[in-house]
Amino acid sequence: MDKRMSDRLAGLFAIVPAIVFYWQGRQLAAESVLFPMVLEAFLLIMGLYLLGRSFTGAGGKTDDEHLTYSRAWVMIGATAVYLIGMDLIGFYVSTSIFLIAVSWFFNDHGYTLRSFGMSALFGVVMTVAIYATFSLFLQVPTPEGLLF
Amino acid sequence: MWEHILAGFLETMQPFNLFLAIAGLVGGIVIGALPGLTATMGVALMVPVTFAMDATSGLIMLGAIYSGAIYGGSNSAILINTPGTPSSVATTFDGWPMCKKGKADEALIGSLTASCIGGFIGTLFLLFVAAPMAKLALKFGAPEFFWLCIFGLSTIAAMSVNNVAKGLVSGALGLLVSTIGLDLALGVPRFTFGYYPLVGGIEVIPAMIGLFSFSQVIYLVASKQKFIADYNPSPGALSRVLRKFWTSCKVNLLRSSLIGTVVGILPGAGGEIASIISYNETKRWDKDPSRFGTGVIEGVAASESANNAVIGGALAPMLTLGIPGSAVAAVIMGGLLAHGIQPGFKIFESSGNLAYTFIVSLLVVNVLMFFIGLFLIKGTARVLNVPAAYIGVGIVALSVIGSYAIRNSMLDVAIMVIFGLIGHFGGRIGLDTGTMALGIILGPIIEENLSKSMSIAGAEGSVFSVFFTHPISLVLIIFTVFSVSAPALIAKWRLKSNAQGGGQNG
Repeated sequence: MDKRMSDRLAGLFAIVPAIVFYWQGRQLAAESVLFPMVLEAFLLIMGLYLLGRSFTGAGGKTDDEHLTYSRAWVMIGATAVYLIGMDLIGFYVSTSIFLIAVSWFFNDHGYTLRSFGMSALFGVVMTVAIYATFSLFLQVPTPEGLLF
Repeated sequence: MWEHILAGFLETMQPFNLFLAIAGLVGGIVIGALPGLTATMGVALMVPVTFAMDATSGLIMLGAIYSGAIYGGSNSAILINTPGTPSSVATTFDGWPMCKKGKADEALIGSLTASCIGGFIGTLFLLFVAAPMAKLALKFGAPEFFWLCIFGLSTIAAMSVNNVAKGLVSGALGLLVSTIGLDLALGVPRFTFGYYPLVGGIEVIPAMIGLFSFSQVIYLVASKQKFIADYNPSPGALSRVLRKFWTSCKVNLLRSSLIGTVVGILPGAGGEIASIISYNETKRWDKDPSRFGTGVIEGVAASESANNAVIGGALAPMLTLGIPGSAVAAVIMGGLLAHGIQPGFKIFESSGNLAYTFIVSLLVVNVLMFFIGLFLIKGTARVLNVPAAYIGVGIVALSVIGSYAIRNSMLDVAIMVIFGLIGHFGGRIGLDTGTMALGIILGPIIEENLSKSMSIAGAEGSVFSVFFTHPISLVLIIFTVFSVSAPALIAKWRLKSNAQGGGQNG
């Protein structure tokens, strides 16, 4: 990414929350917003500084590596479906489906029956391990759904 | 005293007590290594189990779980860049880069050794100088805590030396996010955006799991890496680490352990603050601070020795004054009360054997932890040989359950995902997840103590006298000013001395 673009986005990343939080807190008593207002003002100043720097500062590439975002969006989308699914069908069923499907999708050996078998084995073993550790041994509550 | 110490040692070495110590350590390390499960949770889960034992055996096991969990957090911090407990945040700064360089075994052994040393020094402190220090800790009021946290926040200057502006923005965003929820001063909902469940605020642990863990999964998937890091067990890693510690980390380990112990004594200030301050101090006093963050074992040693030293410190006010120095100490105190034992300085007279056995058992636990940890490292490091596709989805599942477990709330799971996205995309534009986490951790403590101090100032009629005239506050202010200005001053001084050296050579 270009350094100027990086500064511009970082500036907006500071300014937008500052304005949104200021807007949200404008009805509150002074005691409640004293500390947040100091932070909002600070973020606004720093955001404007970064925006200014993005127009006047030196350009050039940042040293971040190339990422394939189509894969990232698949993971983010799959996680969203997983979270919705666990609320509907239960934590363990949705976890095993998520583990099997997503690990198969991202595997390095192509979409073969063997790679699916490996993902299925991984999904089942991992789900059983999570169940044994969290539900049986530690008795940590897990999200509940219609199924298990 | 010495007869109590000897008796305590003999009691600890009883086979049943040794078994409990080992079981507690293994359980604690596993709990600590799982993101979202904290030492407090581990100890709290096991308190009812101790009711079936005598108080001494129960305390030995709880102490072992506490020590194991604090150390265990470093395993996931190093191997998957996810702090297992909040105390291990600073361990990710150099532990994860070491792992990426193929030095996972050195990082793991380094964190284990540092944890044992820190835990041992903290416990020695508890044994010999707990009482006077605990009394000093009682002199810490709201203004002193406020300045202590500001001192912790000054770490941002050192952490983001290459881009201070974005480091400051990250820290301020973390602080601002920490203000979501009930206002501490008036008890009114704040920044909830009309969504009532946000009244409970943003939980630190789901936010951190998101910032460090889910963001890393996105990176892992998008970078098409086959494995999360190259890992080949290198023979002689243990001797290399021990030699390194002996030759160049002695002062670092001692300083970090002392910082951990002192911070641990302060009620409410835990391993996360101690490890961040220690990391910062180690970086500041190093001959080449720019190495930090690139994968140096000194960074891991500083963070891990400090967070395990916190244990001895946190238990000091609990045992001597009946005031727990941390959430875990409070749970252990609850266990003591359930056994009919009242903590406080009289415990050393009325239940001297129990108190000294507990403290001596912590020394033994730290020695045992070295050997048990070495054994477990062989297994845990193998996680790096698992293909990244499996690790990525596995981390997501563990992150979900770890986030949910805190309050049994799907909101925390959503918070984890949102902070993962913020961490990843923020990182791409140069924002720093470490300083953001620091802001989220320190924010509530800073605001609470600022609010209390302002109330005191209102009553006394002078803000200046409350904030700037207390001796401990003054010391902390001097430290903070030095901490903020030191990186720039040291860099300037080095540049000058290099230029002079270059001139003389030329």
